[in-house]
Amino acid sequence: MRFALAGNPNSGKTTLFNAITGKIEQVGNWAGVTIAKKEGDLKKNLNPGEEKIRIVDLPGVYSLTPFTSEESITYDFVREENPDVIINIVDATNLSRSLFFTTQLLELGIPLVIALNKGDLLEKKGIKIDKNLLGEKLNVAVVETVSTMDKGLDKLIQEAVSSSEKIQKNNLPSGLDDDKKRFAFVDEIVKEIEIREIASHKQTKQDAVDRIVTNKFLGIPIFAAVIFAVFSVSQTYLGPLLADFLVGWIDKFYVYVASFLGENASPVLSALLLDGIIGGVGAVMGFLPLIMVLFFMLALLEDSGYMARVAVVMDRHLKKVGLSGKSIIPMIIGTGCAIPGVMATRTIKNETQRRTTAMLTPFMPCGAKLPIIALFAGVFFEDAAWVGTLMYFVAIFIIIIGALLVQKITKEGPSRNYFILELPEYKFPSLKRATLNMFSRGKAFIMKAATIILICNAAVQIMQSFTWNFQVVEEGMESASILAGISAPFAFIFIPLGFGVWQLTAAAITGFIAKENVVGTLAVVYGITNFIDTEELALVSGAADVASVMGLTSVGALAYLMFNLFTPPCFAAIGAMNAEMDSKKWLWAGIGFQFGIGYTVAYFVYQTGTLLTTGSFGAGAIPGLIGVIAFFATITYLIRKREQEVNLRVGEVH
Amino acid sequence: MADIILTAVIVLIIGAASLKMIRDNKKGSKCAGCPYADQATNSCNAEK
Repeated sequence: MRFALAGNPNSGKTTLFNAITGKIEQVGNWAGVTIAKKEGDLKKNLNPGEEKIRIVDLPGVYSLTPFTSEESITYDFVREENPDVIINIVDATNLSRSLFFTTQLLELGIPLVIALNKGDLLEKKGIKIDKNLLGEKLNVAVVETVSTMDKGLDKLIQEAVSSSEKIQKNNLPSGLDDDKKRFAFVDEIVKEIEIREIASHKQTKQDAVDRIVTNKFLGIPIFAAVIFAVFSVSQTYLGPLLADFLVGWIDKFYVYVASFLGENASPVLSALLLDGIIGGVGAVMGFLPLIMVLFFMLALLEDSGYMARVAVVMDRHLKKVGLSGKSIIPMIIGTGCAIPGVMATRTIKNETQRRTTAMLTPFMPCGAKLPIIALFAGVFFEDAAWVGTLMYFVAIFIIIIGALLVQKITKEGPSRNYFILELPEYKFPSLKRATLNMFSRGKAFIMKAATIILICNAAVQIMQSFTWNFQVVEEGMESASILAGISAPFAFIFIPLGFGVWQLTAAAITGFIAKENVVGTLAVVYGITNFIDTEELALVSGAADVASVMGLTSVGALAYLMFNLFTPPCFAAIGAMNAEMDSKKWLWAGIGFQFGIGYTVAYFVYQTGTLLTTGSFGAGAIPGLIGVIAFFATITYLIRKREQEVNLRVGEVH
Repeated sequence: MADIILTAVIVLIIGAASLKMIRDNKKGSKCAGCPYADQATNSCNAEK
C-alpha cells in the first residue's frame, strides 16, 4: 500500500514524514527544502495491519497546475502513480490557501484524508476550527495533528488505512475550473468552519520583531552580528575547548602507532601511514568539534525561524541585480553544501536567472570550506570570529556583483518575479532537532575524512615521497618530488597573490577534489600533525611557528583563504552546475568567472594589504594586474558584444 | 616482515575507503561527492 503526503509548501509534510517513518530528512522553515519525492516505510508501531505501507513525501505545491520541475513531480505522482491514499497536510493556521489545493485533490477521486496540522498554533493565534463540519463539507476524514510533537499520528494512519478501502466521492459543486470560483467556494467553507478571535490586521509581537529584523537598514547589520556570534562560540570559545580533547586522542594514537612501528619499518611506508593517513586525516578531524558546534548553532537559528527572515532581507538586494526572489533559497542551502544548493535552482522558472543562480551559489562558504576558514582564522588571526563572518559577507558581495555583470552581459531586465515566503512563527528552537542535525553532519564529516580525504592525503604523501624516476625523495629535497613537479608550474601564477610556492599550490589543487583537502594537504606537505594545541586550549598550537613554516604573511594568508573559497568549488559541485545549467557555454563561462573572481579578490587583498602594512606592493604586482585587467576586459567585451547584438536587432525591427 | 604487514595495513585502509566511495557512487545519489548534502536539503535523489 502507498500513501502520498501532499500539501502546500511549509505545511509540515517532511516533519510528518519523519515522524511516521522514523527517517531523518531535512526539514526547513521555507518552501523548496523538498524538491524531490522521498519514500520510506511506515513505522511498525503505527501500522494497524500486517501489510507494509510505503509513505511518499512529495514536494510542496499550491495547486495542481505545475510551473516548475519540482511541482511537476507532485503533479505527475498524484495523477499517474495512483497512490492508495493521499494524506493532504493542511496548515490549520492558513486554511484559505491550503484548501484550494485540497479541492483539486478531491477531484482526482483518490481516497483522501486531511491532516489538519500545526494544531498547537491555533490557540496561540486565537483560531477555532470546526473540523467535523470541515469533514462534512468536503466528505473526507479530518484528523488534527501536531507533527512536531507526534500528536494525532496514530489516528491519522488509522483513518488513512480505512479510507483506502472506500471510494472517494466529493461534495464539490460544478464549475470549479475557474480559479476565482474555486477560491470563492473555499472562502465560503472557511467562513463557516473557522472563528478568528484575533483580527489578522492586529500587529502581534512577532510582527514588531519582524519590523526590526527585516528592516531595510538594520536587517544586514543584525545578520552580521548573529553570524559573528555563531563563529565566536564555535571557533573561539566552545569549539576549541572540545577540539582539544579530540586532538589529544589523535596525538596519542599517532605516538602509539609510531612507537609500535619503531625503526624496523620502511621510512616511506611509515611516513605514508603516519604522516599521510593518520597525520593528514587527523589534521582535518581535529576541526570536527568546531564544525559540529557551528552546525548545531546554525540548526538552532534555522529552527527558531530567523533564517527565513534572512531570506527576506537578502531578497531585496538580489532582485535589484536581476536575480529571482527564489535565488536566495539555493544560496542558503548552499551554505550546507553547494551541490543541493545548485540543484535547488530548478525552482526558478526563468532560464537565465536559474543559470545565473547556479553559477553564483557555490560562492557561499559550504560545510567543506569551514575547516579552511577555521584553520586560517586560528593560525593567522588569533581565532578571530570576524574572519568567518567576513567570508560570508564577501560571498554575498561577490554574488551581487556577479549577478550585476551577468545581467549586463545577458541584457535581462530587473526581476519581476515576486518571492512569496510565509514567515514561520518565532519559536524556541528544538534542541533535539539541532542535536540530531549536528550529529548527522558530524557523521558526514567523519565519513568524508575517512574516504576521499584519506585517499587524497595518501596520494599526496606518495607523490611527495617519490621523484619522477620513482626514487625515494631524500629529506629536504621535496622540491624534486612528483607533487612539487606537478604543482610548481602553476605556482608562478600565484606569486602576485602572495602564495607562489608549490606546497600551497598543491593544497589549492587538491581542494578542487574536496575543499577539506586544503587542510589535509597542508598538514602532509608541511609535516604538521595537528593544528590544535593540547596544552594551552587554543585553537592552533604555536600559530607563529605554523605561519612561519608556511611562509605566509597575514595578508597573504587572507588572500590564500579567499582564493580557496571563491574559486570554483569541488568537482562534484561543478557536475551539479553542469546538470542544472544544461549548457556547456554557461558552464565554462561560470567556471571561468569563478576563477577570475577568486583570483581578482585574492590579488586585491594581497596587494592592497601589503601596500598598507609594508608601504610597497607585493611581488608580481604588475603581472597580476595584467591578469586581472584581462579578466575584466573579457567581461567588458562580452557586454559590448551583447549591446551590439541588441542594437542590431532593434535596427532590423525599425 | 614488518614492511609486509605495514603494506597490508595501508592497502586495507585505502581499499576500505575506496570501496566505501564506490558503493556510495553506485547508489546513484547526485550528491555522492558531498556527504553534507543530505543534511542541507532533500534533493539529492531528485531526477531532472
